[in-house]
Amino acid sequence: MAKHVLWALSSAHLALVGCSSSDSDLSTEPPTTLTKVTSGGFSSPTDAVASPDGKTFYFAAYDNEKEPAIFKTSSAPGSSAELLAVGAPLASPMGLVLSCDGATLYIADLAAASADEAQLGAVLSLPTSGGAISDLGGGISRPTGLAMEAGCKTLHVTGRSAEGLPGVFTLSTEGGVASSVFTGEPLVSPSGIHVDDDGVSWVMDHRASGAAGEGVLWAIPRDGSRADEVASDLRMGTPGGVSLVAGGGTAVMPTRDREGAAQLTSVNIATGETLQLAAPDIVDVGGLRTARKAGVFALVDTEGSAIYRAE
Amino acid sequence: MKIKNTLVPALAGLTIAAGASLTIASSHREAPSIAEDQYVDNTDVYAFISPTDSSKLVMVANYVPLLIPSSGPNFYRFSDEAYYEIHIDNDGDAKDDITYRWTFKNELKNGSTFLYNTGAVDSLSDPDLNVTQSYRLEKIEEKTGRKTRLLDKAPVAPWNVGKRSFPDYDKVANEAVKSAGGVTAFAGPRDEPFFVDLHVFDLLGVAGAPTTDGINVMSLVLEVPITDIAKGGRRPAAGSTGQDSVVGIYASASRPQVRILRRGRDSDDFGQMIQVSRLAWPLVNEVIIPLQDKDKYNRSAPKDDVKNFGAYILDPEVPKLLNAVLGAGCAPTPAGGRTDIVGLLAPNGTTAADLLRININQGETNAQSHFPNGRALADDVTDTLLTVACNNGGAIGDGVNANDKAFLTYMPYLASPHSGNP
Repeated sequence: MAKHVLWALSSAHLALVGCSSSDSDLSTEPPTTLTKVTSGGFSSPTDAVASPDGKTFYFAAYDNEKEPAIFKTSSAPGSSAELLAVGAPLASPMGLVLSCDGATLYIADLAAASADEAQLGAVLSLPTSGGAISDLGGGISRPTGLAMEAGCKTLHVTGRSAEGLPGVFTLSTEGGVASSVFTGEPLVSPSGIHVDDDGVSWVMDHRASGAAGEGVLWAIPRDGSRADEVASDLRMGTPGGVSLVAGGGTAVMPTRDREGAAQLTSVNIATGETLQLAAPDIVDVGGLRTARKAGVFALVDTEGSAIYRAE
Repeated sequence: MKIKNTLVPALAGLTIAAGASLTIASSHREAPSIAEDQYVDNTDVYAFISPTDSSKLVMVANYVPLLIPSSGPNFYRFSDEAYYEIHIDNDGDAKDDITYRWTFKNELKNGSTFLYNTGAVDSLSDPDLNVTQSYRLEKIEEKTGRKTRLLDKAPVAPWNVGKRSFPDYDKVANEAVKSAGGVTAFAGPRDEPFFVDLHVFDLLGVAGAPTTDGINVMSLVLEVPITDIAKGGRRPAAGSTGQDSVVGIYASASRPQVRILRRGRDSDDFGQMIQVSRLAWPLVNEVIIPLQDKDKYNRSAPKDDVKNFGAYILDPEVPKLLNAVLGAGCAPTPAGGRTDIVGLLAPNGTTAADLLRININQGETNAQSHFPNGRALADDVTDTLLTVACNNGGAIGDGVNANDKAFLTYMPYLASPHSGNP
């Protein structure tokens, strides 16, 4: 519940507020409804993303043979999931993001074999029309979360450096060598990530400790000069999910309350005001992503093996 | 019911008599999933007023069951990728108010040898002690999320490898008793304090065999001022019977949700922490909860016990088995079920739950800390619980009535672990 979430809004952090997503006709309000889109034919989904128009969802899960897979579904309630890719090189897909045109899906896979033997896991790309999966390289180990910069050419990736430090990195959508934005403390176990129009990374961290408890949302400016605690005592799933609504004023995160019940937590970044949308049908929360040009969020029920839409 | 001093004498009066025998292992390898993950398997929880300072409470959480002393070369330890926790409810609602959390870090001085130690070890800082482990101990106030670091890089006592490696093991192990801010802690191997005849699992074939003699376990021992855990930081007055006159305790272990195994490399653990083991009373998941729900029990919270498992408590399987296999003459389950057992799980008007509850009123002493008012190391809980379960006015037991080693009267209270090469 909101009363359990304390906010540590430093002046440095407030300077980050006001970053915006562009489309002015999109709702700047947090979602108020949750609807199941699909279940069956897959299990243990981790992350889901919405196409730019919000009409199609893509998600990572396991098929009926327990093979790692990427699925596609209409975002309309009662839809069926369609298999887009299955098996190697996928191994443990954890985070997803779409290209701005919706034509390419990027996949952070914790365990995929990489051409770079020193790298554990891989950032992969997959055409949403189907086809071969490519390894973007980059040297980021244990990638877990992905976000797309406003310019549509740069991915922000949560993972670990070659030295094993937790961090946020940037990687061209064409692949190549990744650059470090921020590594090391206070990050501990970063996963879900959102990047706003100013390049600020909003990062969910399972095991970091904040002012109000374990589970932190960090804000990291593009220059990597600091990691500010935005919220803590966030009981997030695996991965932690976060997206900002249009205008960038509110962060939306799937969490569990103190009793373990699933909910969508929305935080007004400037004021710290929180809203909780109960999600009684969701067994356990995971990733979440908003559509680029529609007020629709895709999110997963990791334990209930279902995909939901929030709006 | 009330826990003042009334409950303890009532059960203390139960004694072992000739007749039917049955026993249980407190919580050793008790559920299918946890049996595959030995390092985070809770075995027993104890809680008693300190014998040396009645203003303090001692809590013991044991993990990693049934350890053979000569188990080299990779001797037992705690998992580096887990939370080990003792949880405390101080207001009777069966929800966590305070959590003590241990996290461990394993260290290796020399990877080019297979030896745990490369020479005789006479202190924890001895360079010949090749494999070491340390821990961080934190106190978490659940209502505020406030986390206080009590100890950092505190040493875990080493395995008692043998007389050649540890000419004076107790001297070395005692260096692992650490204090800070009024709290004293110990982590490391000890003699298994639970005494039992494990032949029960051969169709209840017990005959008083002390099957846990000579066995070790990994122990977390914590002695804290009672005011540190009492509601509002105050001990209730002597004789109080409010919900805050008892604290409810359980221990748990949690692991990251995702583990990635890699060929030729260390595994990766990632994600939210999932509770995989818990324990309070020494019976509930062992013989009350049936196989189909044992894993669920380990992953659930005490506050939900009545909802999840109430039917099993009201109509337990144990007395039926005693009658069917041993002709023990246990009383049939009364209409309305075993509300007497539920009452034991809900003293002083607290919410019924599998919590080890102990009276913390002013004036309470170590002598009053006997199961189910806490649990002393020497308590024969097997006999007590079987007698309660059978409920026929008689007393039954397993024929094993004491530990193989004497307990200590000072930290860490549990007896020194058996040597791998005595």
